[in-house]
Amino acid sequence: MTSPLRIAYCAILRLHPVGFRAEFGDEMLWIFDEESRCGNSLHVLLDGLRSVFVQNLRPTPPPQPETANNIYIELDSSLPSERYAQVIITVMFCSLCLTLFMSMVVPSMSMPLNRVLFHPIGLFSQQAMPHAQRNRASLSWEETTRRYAR
Amino acid sequence: MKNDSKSSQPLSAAALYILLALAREDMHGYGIIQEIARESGDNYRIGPGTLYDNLKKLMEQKLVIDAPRSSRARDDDRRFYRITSAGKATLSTEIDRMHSIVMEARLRLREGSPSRA
Repeated sequence: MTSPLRIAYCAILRLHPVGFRAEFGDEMLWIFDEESRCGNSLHVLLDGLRSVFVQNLRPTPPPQPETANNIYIELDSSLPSERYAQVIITVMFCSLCLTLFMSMVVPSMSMPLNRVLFHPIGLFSQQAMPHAQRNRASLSWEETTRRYAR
Repeated sequence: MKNDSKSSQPLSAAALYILLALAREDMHGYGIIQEIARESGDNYRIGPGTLYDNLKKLMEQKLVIDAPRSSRARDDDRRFYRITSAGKATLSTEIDRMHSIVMEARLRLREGSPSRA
C-alpha cells in the first residue's frame, strides 16, 4: 500500500537533479521504506526537502574536456535558472501543502493563509475578465471570503 | 595543490561519521545510517539526503569508492561503499586534528581552573 508520505517523498525525489536522482534515487526510496517501518518517515521527509535545496542550489562543475596535463579548467559562470525555477516550484508546493494541512487542522487559521496565497491570483484573474463579469466575480469572491471568515 | 588544500580542511560531522563507519567494513547506505546512529548512541541520525550528498562528495574526492560486486553475495543487488587508502589517511589526519584540539582544550581548562589560583 502506498502511503501519502511515500508519495510525497517520491515527489521530493523527482525534484532532485537528474544525475543525483539516477545515481541515488532508488537507494533513497529504499531507505525511506526502511525508516518508515521504524516510524522515522517524517524525519526522512524533512531531510529529503533539505536535500532538494542543497542539490539544486549547489553549483555543479561542468564536465571537463581532456587537456594536456589538466592545466586548463573551464569555468561555468552562467546562472542555473533551471535550478532556481525548481526551488521556486518547491517553495510553492510546500506552501500549498501547508495551507491544505492547516485548513484541515484549524479552519479559522487557514483563511488568512488562503487569502495571502490565493488573493493575488484571484485579483489577477479578475483583471483579465470583462467589466460586468469582473464585478460578479469580485462579489462572489468577497461572499466566499465572508462565509469562511464566519 | 588542490588536493592538499582540500585535505587540510576539517571534515563535516556527517563525512567524519561516514568514513568512520566504512573504516570497519564495506557497507550499503542504510547500513551506514544505522552504524552512525549506533556509534553516536542515537544522538546523531542522518537521513538519506545528507548521506548521499556526503557520499557523492567523498566519492568525487576519491575517499570512498563502490565496493566490487564479487566481495558479496550474488543475490545482493544493493550498492556497497568502501573507504580507500586516501580516505583512511584523511580520517586519520582528522582524528589527529581532533585529538590535538582535545589536548589543547584540556590544557586550557586546567590552566583556567580555580584550584590553581
